[in-house]
Amino acid sequence: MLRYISRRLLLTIPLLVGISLVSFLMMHMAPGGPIGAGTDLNPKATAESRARLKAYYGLDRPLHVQYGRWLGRMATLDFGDSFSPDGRPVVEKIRERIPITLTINVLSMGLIFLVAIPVGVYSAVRKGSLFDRISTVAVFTGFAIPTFWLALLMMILFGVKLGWLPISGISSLDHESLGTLGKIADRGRHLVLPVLLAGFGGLAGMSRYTRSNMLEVIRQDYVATARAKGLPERTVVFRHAMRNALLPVITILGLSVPDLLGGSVIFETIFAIPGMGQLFYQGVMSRDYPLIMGILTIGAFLTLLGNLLADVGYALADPRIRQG
Amino acid sequence: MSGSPGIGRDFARRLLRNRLAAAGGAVILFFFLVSALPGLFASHDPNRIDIVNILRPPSAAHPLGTDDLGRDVLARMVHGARVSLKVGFVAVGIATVLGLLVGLLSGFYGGWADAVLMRFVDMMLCFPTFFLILSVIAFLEPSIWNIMAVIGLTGWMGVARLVRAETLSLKERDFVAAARAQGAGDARIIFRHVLPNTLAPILVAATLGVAGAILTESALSFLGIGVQPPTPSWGNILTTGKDNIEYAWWLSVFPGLAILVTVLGYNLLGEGIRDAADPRLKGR
Amino acid sequence: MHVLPKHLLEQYSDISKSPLNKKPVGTGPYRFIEWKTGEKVVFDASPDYFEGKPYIARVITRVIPDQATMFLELKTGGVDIMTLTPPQYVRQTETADFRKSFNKYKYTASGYTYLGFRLSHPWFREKRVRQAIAHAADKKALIDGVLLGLGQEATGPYKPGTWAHNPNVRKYPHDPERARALLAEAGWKEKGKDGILKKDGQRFEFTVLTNAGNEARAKTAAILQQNLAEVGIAMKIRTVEWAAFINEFIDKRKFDAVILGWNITPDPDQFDIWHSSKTGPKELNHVGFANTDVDRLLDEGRGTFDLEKRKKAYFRIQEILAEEQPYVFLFVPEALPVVHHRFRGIVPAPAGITYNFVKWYVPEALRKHQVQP
Repeated sequence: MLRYISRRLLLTIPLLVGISLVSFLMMHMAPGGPIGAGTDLNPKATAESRARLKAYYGLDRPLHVQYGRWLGRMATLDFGDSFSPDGRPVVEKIRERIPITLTINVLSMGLIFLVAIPVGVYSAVRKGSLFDRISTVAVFTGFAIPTFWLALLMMILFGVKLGWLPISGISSLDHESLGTLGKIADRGRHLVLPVLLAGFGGLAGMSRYTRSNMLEVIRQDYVATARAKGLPERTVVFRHAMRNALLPVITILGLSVPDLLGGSVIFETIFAIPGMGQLFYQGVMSRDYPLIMGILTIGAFLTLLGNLLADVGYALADPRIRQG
Repeated sequence: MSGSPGIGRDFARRLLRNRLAAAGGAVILFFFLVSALPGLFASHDPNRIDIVNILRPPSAAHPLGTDDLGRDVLARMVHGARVSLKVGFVAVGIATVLGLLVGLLSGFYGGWADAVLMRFVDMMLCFPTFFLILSVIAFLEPSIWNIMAVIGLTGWMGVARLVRAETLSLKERDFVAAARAQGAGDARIIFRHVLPNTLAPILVAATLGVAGAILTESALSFLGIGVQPPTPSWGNILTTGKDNIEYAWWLSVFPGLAILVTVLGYNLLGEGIRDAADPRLKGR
Repeated sequence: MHVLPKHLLEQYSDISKSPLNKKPVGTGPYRFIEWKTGEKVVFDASPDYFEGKPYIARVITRVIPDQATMFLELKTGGVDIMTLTPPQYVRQTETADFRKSFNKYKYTASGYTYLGFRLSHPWFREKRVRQAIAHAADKKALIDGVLLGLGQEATGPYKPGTWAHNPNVRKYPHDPERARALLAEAGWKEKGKDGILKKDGQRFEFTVLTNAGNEARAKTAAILQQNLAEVGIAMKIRTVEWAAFINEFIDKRKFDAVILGWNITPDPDQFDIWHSSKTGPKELNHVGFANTDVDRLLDEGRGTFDLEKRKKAYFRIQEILAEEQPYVFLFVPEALPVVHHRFRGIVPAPAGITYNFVKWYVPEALRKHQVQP
């Protein structure tokens, strides 16, 4: 097991190098080069100040030297300063936004886990029933629906028409004056819609996957054996079948990281949530290249982490690897 | 195995018997018709501005209402269908061709080519796709061609893996050995023997890929970095819908519905093809 | 220029990098308390303000990235004051319910939108072509379509109602016939099969640039496109993101025409925009306007404090600009703030409503949020 994990970790290294290469190439693809937009926006930027910036960023050195510097800076998460008027270091801006994005994504993963799995299991166990058919329809609709559209509809329904839930931000104006419990409740209410919608796509996929996995497992011999032994149906389902069907779940959750991150761009923008996704969107709209590259790279790191977790989960599930 | 007529007929029969897949196919055909013959479905000019009739609800004159410049929503959606389908197909075309090439080469030749290519695939998969697409479009400019290219260039990895897996298993089959014995060169084997047998999974991937591409394009257009107005796209009509959401429900409902139905159609068809092509599922 | 706190800044060699950028200290009526990036900035009333401590104890500026969400927040009480878009003003705020809880205001904004021509362009060099386009543009349709009627036609670069504004310059009413006649005079007589004018084998087609993400400008462009198609001109629209727009196109003068706007400053001196010395790259006379009379008048206007003399100079400038049409001046919008009804003391004036913010208050019975002492 340990050997498997360490081998996996070693494989990550060339991936990290690859990530740095791709991002380096992308940065130099930008019109005006890596510093173009920052200085040209400012009418006071003279030719000398631009030359100074060029030297500072080392853009006058040969490409491989620049790449070396980029590699070093990426390792220390130094993505330079943002082009936006506040000019703060990119990594600082990301750092203050990441917690909320991670919170929402972790919560939605939890939601997926809690809802999709029972649905998938029940659909498999009661294959062909009304429940199964309805949930299949719901799943297919879930795959096809544009989530930003759903977000708008939910906002109108729950936010405006019914007034049950707040529709933007993560806390109310008077958040500070609430007691601890009040603060938690306030945050909670603000997060309901974003978490729901962030998890929506994953819900469909996960329940479908669980269902087909369960179906596979149910057909297996050991399940038939358990039944033949006279064990009650419930024990058969829960103890034997489900445990084996569930093991790949961690894998799926780990692999869903990139999709959740991508989705966060849309939700955070629609719901005005100050997370990394919204920051990314604003960076894209204002062509804030250092910020864009920083978030892209961090996104890649998180994906890598998710993949690692997925593989570890898979290793835990597969006894052949566990022993080895 | 390739070229055997019985398999093809079997496949078609299974596919058509699958009612959901047939429904999906019908939807797709419908939208094809709509984009090929816009005049049949919409009588107005999609770009005709009519200040007097701004934001009118659905009526006889304008079955789907008008937008914030008085343009006929039905006409814009009909032309938007064209855009969505075009983007979907070209993007998936690019992704499929690229994925095929990489997968075939990787699976067939193995060795260091396989190692390098698959590491490259892993590397590309490290980036959250949507982030990657947004970044590249930020560096270039939002135009239909750029969007098609970017969606295609970020979506080939799945196909590559699929094709590689198929190639690996096919490579060992008897008919390949037989072809070699007959003196066939690599290229001939790949294109005449291996490729046709990978068609089924590729078709599935491509069909599902079009669905995904349409969703991506509409998300990009909705956010303002996709198809730029005044060119209509279902996604950018939804942007207007969002801005006028309280008193112009038709701008939000119809384009979203259209996207939903189209994507559903492709998904159902794709699943249907998968079920029909998978011999293990016979008699299910 | 603002007054800066020397005692706090003198220790920093580069004040643009001092911590005061995130925690400013100034002489205004409110004191900075906190800034949560991307979320809000909080200010508390300063007891030391020279006009007296403001009645409203705390002001929170919230960051909400789009108008629609902002409006929903207004209605659910998360926001007390915001600027409405024309559709919101006209369609969404007319219910009795809304009017019970909010007060709407309307005053002429200090800015205008225009269609600017690159004057070195071979076709736009011709005054008659520019004037033809001015006649082709349906300004009323623009105001009705883009602003929902909440605005007025712009005839020059000054705000109607101010002392420097000359109401008697040459106007360009919507007149496609006149436009076609002028174009014909300028040599554009042939019409191609697609209805577009031709001269020397070339179609009259050009691209107008405007910045992306601005709905009003996008709509303006779409309407103008239709107006010009009517007289045989094919105008293509290209929206470019702001930074690239300024950097790659405006500053480098790489455009045929642009749709942009200017803020109108209180002082009528517009030297930087119209003087021929300001046409270098990155300078503000991006269309390349050069007129010796205007140059002289601009110098005159700057060179004296005598209001009458200045007025004469600026009036004459507006006459020339109206004649020459380096821009087609399109419209001056109305500013549309809305405030929750519990705030009293608001006195609308041409300068707006927030000029006397320190005098606004909330009667005790209506107070919603209390600042803990």
